Amino acid sequence: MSTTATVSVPAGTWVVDPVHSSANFEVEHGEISAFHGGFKPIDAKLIAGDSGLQLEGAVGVASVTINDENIKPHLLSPDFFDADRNPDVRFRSTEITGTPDDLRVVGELSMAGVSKSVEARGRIRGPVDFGGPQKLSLALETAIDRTDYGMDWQMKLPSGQDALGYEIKLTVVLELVQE
Amino acid sequence: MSILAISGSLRSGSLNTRLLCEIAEQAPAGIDIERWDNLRSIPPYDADDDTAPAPRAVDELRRAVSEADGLLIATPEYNSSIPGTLKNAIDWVSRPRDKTPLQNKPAAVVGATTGQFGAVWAQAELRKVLSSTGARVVDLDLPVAKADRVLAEHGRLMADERLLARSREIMDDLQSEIARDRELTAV
Repeated sequence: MSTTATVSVPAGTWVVDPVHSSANFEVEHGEISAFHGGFKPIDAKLIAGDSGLQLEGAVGVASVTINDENIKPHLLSPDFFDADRNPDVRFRSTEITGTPDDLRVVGELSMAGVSKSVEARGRIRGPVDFGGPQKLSLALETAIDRTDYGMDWQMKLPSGQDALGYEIKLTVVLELVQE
Repeated sequence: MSILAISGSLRSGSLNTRLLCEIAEQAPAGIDIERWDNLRSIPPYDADDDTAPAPRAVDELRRAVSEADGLLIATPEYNSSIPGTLKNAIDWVSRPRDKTPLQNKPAAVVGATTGQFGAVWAQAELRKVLSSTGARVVDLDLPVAKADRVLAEHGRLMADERLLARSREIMDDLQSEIARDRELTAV
């Protein structure tokens, strides 16, 4: 389901340009700093129609990139993404409202076998013409509690802090090309 | 359905090896539990030696883990943790990280000790280690305490009905995980 947003997007389907798009996550490490990762390529499209805007996107869990590859098998295991049984992270919007500079996107985020409603905020820019097809840019941020997705693994550091925070910040930047 | 059983103890009269044998004897039809008993031959992990071809025992173990549908590991408890020989073998099989046969491998852990807690800390440690390798680990333990005395008195380690029930529960969970993977593969 989509609703009318106050942003103006020419009707049609806008598909992701994977070269200029990213999907990253950040989680607190040791209660003082952060651990980062990302997925690529991203599969996404924005559909602008009479009923408003709808955004869909997916990434393959196995594509996760992190700064320490030694951690990857654990990240793909049932303690986290359970990638073998849930190979994708998917998002499908149910409501897009707001203004170009204060966009609100509500939708279902599915990963690790769980689907939950999330609300992301961000902005949309364009369309612009770089000399080829028209392009849009969409940037969104949200935060989720990983335990909502069954990712409740924890280990205490020797100094007593949690090794890994529970809040995951998600940042998605999409460059979308008119089909 | 094939289960590779590994005892973390090298001792000829090992209580943990015996525990694996008792579990194998009670395994339902269709479950083939095969023991891999060459832990002693695995060299100390050294990244300099982790080249092709791998040391023969390492190659054997990697292949055995890869071909098995699931793992069943029995661990003693040394200094509140697992034996170095067992951890060393897991370290070999967990590498290279992007090709480890432990990724998504269903695995269960049991343990016996002469002490009063039945290797609960070693079993927890082993589950933690296996999870870190990417394995799909059954979240239950089988703490066989005072194993030498129980064996002397009853002639078997799982003389207690609660231990037998827990053993069945662990094997049921392990079977379910393997079956689920097969269903997913068949789709």
